Amino acid sequence: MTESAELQSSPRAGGVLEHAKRRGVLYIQILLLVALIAIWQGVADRFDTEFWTSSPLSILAALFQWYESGQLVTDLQLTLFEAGIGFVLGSIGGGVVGFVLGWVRKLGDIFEPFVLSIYTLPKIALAPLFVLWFGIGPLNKVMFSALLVFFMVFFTTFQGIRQVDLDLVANARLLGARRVDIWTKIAIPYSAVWVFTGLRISLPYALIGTIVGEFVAAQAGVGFRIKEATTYFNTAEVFAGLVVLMAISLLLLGVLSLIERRVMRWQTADTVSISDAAGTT
Amino acid sequence: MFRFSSFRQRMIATVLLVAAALAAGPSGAAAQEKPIDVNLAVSSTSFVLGGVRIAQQEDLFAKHGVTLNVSVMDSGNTAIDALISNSVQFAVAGPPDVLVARSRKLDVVIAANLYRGAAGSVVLSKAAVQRIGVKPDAPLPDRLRALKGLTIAVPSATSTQTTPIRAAAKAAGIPLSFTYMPQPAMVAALAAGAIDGMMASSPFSGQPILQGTGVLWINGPGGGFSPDATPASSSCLNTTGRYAQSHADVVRRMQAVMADVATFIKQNPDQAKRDLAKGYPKVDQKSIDLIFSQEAQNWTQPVLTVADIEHEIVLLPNSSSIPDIGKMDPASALVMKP
Repeated sequence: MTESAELQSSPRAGGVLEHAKRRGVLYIQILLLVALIAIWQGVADRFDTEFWTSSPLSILAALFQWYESGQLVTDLQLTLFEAGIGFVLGSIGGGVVGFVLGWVRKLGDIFEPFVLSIYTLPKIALAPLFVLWFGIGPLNKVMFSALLVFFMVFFTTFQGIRQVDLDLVANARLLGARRVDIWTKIAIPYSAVWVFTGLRISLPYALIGTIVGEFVAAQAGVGFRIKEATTYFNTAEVFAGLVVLMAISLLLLGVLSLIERRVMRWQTADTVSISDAAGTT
Repeated sequence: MFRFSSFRQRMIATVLLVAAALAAGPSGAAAQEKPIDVNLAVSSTSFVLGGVRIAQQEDLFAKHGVTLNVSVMDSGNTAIDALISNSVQFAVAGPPDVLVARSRKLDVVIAANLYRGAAGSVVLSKAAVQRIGVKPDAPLPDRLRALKGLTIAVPSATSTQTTPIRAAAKAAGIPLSFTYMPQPAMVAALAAGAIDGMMASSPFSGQPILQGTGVLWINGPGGGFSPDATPASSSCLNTTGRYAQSHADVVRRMQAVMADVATFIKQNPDQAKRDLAKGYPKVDQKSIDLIFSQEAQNWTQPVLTVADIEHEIVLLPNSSSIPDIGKMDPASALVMKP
C-alpha cells in the first residue's frame, strides 16, 4: 500500500482531507458570491439599472432604514411566527394523515384519489377564500402555510410508510412485538428519512404560504412590506424584503438540518465517500 | 406594339383605367385610415372608467381611428408597471401613482383626466358601526375619529382611493390602519367581517350597502370630504413621455376621444346613461341611475392643470418612499394643454 493510500484509508486522515475539501468549496462559494455582488453593483452603476435591478449598496441602505424604523424586527417576528406555526401544524397534520393512510393500506387506497385531487388544485387561487374564512389576521397566513406544508409532508410520509419492509414487520410480530413496538421501532424509523425529506422540501413552502397571505391582505409582515414597496416603485426595498426572506429560509433550513442530525443520529456514521472508497480498493 | 384600332376601343380602355383608378383610390385611403391598435391597462373595472365605457359604446375611439384593447389590472400601480415595461401604450391610474413613479425618475406623464374629484367612499360594516356607537350622519370630524382602531381596506398605499381618507385623517390628527386589497375583494371581506371598513369607488362601494352588510360612512363623490382632502382627479390616462413625443398623434387622438365623450355626456345625458348601463351589464338600473346622477359630471372634465398637480403633490404622504417630491415640477407631469 502506498503512503497516500494509507493516508486516505485511515479514518482520521480521511476526515482531514474531507474537511480541507469542504473548506476549498466554501472559499470558492464566497469568491463567487463576492464576484456576483461586485458585478451586480458595477452593472447598476454603469448602466443605471437602479429601478430594474436595484444594487447591493441600495439594498443594504434599504435594509438599514428598515431596521432603523423598528419595523424590520416586528415584521420578521410576525412572518416567522405565521410561517413557523403553519409549518408545525402542516407537518403534524401531513405526518399523521400520511402515516395513517400509508399504514392502513385499504384506507390509503380509498382516500388517495381525494387527497390527490385537492393537491392538484392551484392553491394560490384559494388565497382570497382564506381571507373570507380566516380574516386578514395571522390565522389566515398560518392556515395557508399549513395547507401548503401539509401536502409535502403527507406525500413523503405516505410513501415512506409504504416502503416499510413487510417481512420485517411479520418477523417482529412473530417475535411478539406489539403494534406500538412495530410503529415506534420499525415504521417510524424506517420512514423517518422520507419524513425529513418532506419537511426539508416543505419548509420554503411555509414561507411562501405566509408571504402570499401577506400579499393578499395584511397590515404588517415581510410580505406586506414587499407589496407596499412595489406600490412606491421602490425596487431596493423589494430586494431588501427578498434578502430577508432568503436569510429566514436558510436559517430555518439550518435549524431543521440540526434537528435532523440529532434525531437521525442512529443513521449517520463515519463513512468514506464513494470516490475515496473507489480510490483505495 | 399594342395600338387602339378604333375610337370605341379607346373609350373602353379609358373607362377601364378610370374604374381601376377609382377602385384603387378608396383602398389607398382606407389603408391610410387603418385604425391604430392601442393597448390600455386599467386599474380596476370601477366607475372611474365611466367616461371610457361610454366612449366605447359610442364608438368614439373608432371615430378617432383607434382600436382599444383593454387589460384589467388589480391596481393603478400594476397598470403603471405594465406601461413602464412597454406592454401597453397607455395606463389608467390616479395622479398619486404617476407622481410616485416620477419621483423614482420613471418617465410617466398624464395625457388626460378621466375622473374629477374623489371617486371613493368609505363604507363600514354594520357590525363596526354598532361597535363604535357613532351615527352615519354625525359631523365629519366625529365620523373620522370613529375610524381609529378599525381595519380599513384600500386598494394600495398610493391609490387615489387612499388619498382623501388619509389626508382627512391626517388633518384631524387621527392615526388610521390600512390593509391593501383589490376593490372587488373588499366587498366579500367586509361581509365576512375580515375588515371593518373599505374605501372604494362605485360599484364596489355600493354593493355592501345594497346587500345590507355595510353603511355609507363618507360619500366621496357626494362631496363628503373637505376640499383640502379631495383629490383633483381620481383617475387619469397616462403614457410615457417618450411615447408622447414619438406618437404625439395617438396621444392627441386619445385626448380628443376624452374631450368628445365629455361633450357627449353633457349634450346627451340620457343616451350616455344607456351607454353606461351597456358598459356595466352586471349593475342594476337603479344603481346606474344613482351613480350617473352623482358622478357623470366627474367624467366631463378631461383636462388637469398645473394647480391640480400641485394640489395632488400636497396630498401625498410625507414618506421617504417618495424621494424629492417637493422639488418636482408639476408641469412636467402633464402632456395636455389646459
